[in-house]
Amino acid sequence: MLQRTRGVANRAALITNFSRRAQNSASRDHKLTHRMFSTTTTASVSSVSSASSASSASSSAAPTADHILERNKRLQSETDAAIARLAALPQKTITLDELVKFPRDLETKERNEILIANAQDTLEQIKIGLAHRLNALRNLQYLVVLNPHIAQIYQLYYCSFLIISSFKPPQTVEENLHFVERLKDLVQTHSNTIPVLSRGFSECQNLMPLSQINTLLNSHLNARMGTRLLAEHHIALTNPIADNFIGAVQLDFSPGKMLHECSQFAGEICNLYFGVRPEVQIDVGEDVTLPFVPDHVQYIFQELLKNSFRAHAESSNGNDPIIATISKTEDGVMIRLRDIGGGIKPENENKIFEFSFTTFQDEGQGDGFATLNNFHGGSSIAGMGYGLPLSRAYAEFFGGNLKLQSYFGLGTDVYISLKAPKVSL
Amino acid sequence: MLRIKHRPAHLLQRTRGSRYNSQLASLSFEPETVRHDYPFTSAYPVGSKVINEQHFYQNDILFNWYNKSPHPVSLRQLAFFGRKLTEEKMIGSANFVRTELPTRLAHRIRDLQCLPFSVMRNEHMSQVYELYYQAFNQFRKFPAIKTLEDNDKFCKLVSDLLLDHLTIIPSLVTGGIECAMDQLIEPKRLDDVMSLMLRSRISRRVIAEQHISLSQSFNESLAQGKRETAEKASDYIGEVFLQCSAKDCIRTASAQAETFAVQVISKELYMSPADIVVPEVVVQGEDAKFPYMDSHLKYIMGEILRNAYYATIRRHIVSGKGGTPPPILVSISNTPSDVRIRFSDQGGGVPKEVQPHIWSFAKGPEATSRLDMFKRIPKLAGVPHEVDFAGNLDTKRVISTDTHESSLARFSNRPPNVKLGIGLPMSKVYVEYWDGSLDLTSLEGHGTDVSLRISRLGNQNEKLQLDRV
Repeated sequence: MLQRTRGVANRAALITNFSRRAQNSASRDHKLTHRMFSTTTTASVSSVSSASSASSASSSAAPTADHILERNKRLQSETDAAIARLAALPQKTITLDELVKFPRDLETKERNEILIANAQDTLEQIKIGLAHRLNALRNLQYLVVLNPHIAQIYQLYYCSFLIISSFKPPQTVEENLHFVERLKDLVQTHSNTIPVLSRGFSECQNLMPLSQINTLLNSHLNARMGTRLLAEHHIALTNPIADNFIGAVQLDFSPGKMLHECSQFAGEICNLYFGVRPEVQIDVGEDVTLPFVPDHVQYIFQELLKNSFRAHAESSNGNDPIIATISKTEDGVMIRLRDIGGGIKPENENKIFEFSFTTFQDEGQGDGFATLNNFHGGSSIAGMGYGLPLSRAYAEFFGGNLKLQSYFGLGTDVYISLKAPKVSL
Repeated sequence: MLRIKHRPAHLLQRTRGSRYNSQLASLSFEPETVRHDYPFTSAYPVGSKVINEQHFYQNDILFNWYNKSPHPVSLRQLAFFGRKLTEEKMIGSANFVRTELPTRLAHRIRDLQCLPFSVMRNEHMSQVYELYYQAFNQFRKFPAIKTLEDNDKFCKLVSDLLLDHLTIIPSLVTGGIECAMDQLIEPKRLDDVMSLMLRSRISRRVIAEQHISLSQSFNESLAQGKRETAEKASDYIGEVFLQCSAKDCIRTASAQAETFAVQVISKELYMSPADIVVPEVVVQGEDAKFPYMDSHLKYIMGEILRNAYYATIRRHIVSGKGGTPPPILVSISNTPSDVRIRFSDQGGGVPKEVQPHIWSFAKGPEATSRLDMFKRIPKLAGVPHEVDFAGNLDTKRVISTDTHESSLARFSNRPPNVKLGIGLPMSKVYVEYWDGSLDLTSLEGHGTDVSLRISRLGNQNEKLQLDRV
């Protein structure tokens, strides 16, 4: 995700894949779990040979089912104790200032020392983050967690915690490289959790109030963003993306360039479905830059442009551009995206920042905020509106914000403010 | 551009407690493999027949039952019903039980479903859940009862399930205590849940047992060639309620409590049971006779007397005075509306630090030792009906007494070194269920007074419903 080299087409493919995968996940996981339960004893006997090498010194005797049960029981209680301990620790808030503090020009030896310290810190923070998530899931009512989608996420987190617990805090450069490889796997494994989680909660609507679901999803998203960023930051500190990056932070990030890039992407999809390709026109601030995490802004722009492009296409304003205004502010950058796609129906205005799984059954009504993802048809997951709430969460992550102003019958203005780091670089 | 020369302090702090689990050192990152090798990471208990991927959706059926209201049954109704039995009435009763039990189970299952996952993932709690759900499924799937043969089959199912469910109290309490120790649930909430589960369990069992015993009476009269049973006297209140005598019950319960206390103390103080001198139980007042669940009454009195004997004997031995310990005084007061029985011992009273917790299932300083004790209980399940509790019961009630007494009997007859610490809270649930009350006052340094108030459950008692659903 951090590699800036990855092309637009690649990303489009990812998105298609993403909805397909999510759709299949239920049935696939069913099979998986089924296998897991039906063959528990025999399967663990055969499979444990790989894992047991670490668990017992006796190498000659194959572990019996009893041994495995015993081992798992002990492991579970140890893991649960660790989760309880870590979940009681506060989660560190991540600031851009902290991220860019990493010294750039140092002797290799000194740099490595700090890198390794950062690796250890990252490992601990990720553990704490996962423990918090697991704890939050465990505090849900029993029946909610038994929902297969929520259960899937629960198990993913539990497995991740288990895996992370097996990481030895790196002490050398080589160990750090190994650690980074495993971090990448972790990030990859967690890339599709939100659709699954939303789907799970959508099936639990009669079990808990909507507001609780929204709060839960929001805190989940925020925590997840933090953990993810820490991992990606460390990965990028170890394998720098380019000279103008400190970890995940691009020092000369240009919202203008990113807008053009995202416009390409959204334009292609729009063209595919509507035969029109709206554009973004930057009237002011083309050359404004600030140090920022590009991935976050990329997500926001993509979601917003998909909405606007679709709105333009549907209101036959397809050939009119979306006007972007970028202005340098005292503490960062402010961006306004203005479309003339007809705005949002007043009755929908108060729902746009909710995870709108309530409306996913009547998708395709052109509510203005429905995303282009809808065009993939059938997939109820793609139809769920979590683009806007997620975009806002991304904007707020480093203290910025996202505000939407609709003029029904005319169009929509979206204001995004991004805060730059306070330290001068 | 200013270059940061210093090393950021936050990066150089070596992370504290950055432990890693060397057992897992070579863990593969394939989540599928991890899931497979470590099935405990699943939200579903391994090998569960009920709690699996489909359960969430299958549970829709439960909501249908949950939306039905339970039908409260009053003692009067039960008594009136049993006075004269006919085939039609038997089948009506069977069908009532057939739909009433799953309705009530559905309510308790929903209560469990609303508890946090962290509590229910406890193996004992999920065992309870699974047993409840299986019972619910078996009852709801049982076809409508049309003939007496159907009813016989149904009675078989009911008694089987009653037996199966003997492990529920130990599991529930063990799970509850474990959760409370891990601070997964507020002790107050846990106590509420436990009381509710137990109360509701009593009412289900009463309904079930009543039906089974009615069926037995009816079948017996059928065997004698009668199509209906003879009209019972107007003070008849059913088969599972008996006219209990306070004095008889005190006698039986003291004998058991005495044996128990002697055994415990002989183990604790390494004494021969023969060397332990027991106090006398002095009963004051006229005997009182009142209708009650015989097994409940014996359990309640047994628990009270057990504590009294234990404290009295132990304190006496420790004091080194010799001779006979001071007597336990039991006084009966009899009024038309209730019977009050006071148990006064001179065992030194309840230690101050224990006092706030005596009515709680889970909290209190003794929680850990209780838990160890509880873990031994399920193993007792293999020994059926350890003691003949029935005593004066005649044989025609054997099945009924087996089913409703053995779970309590098992508690009453646990090995002497097993001190559960839930005798008082359990007794309170039983007492209050039958509209009575249980109170304890400790005279520190002297002894304990326990006051047991029993409501007269007469036919005139319209307000008393069997249900606290």
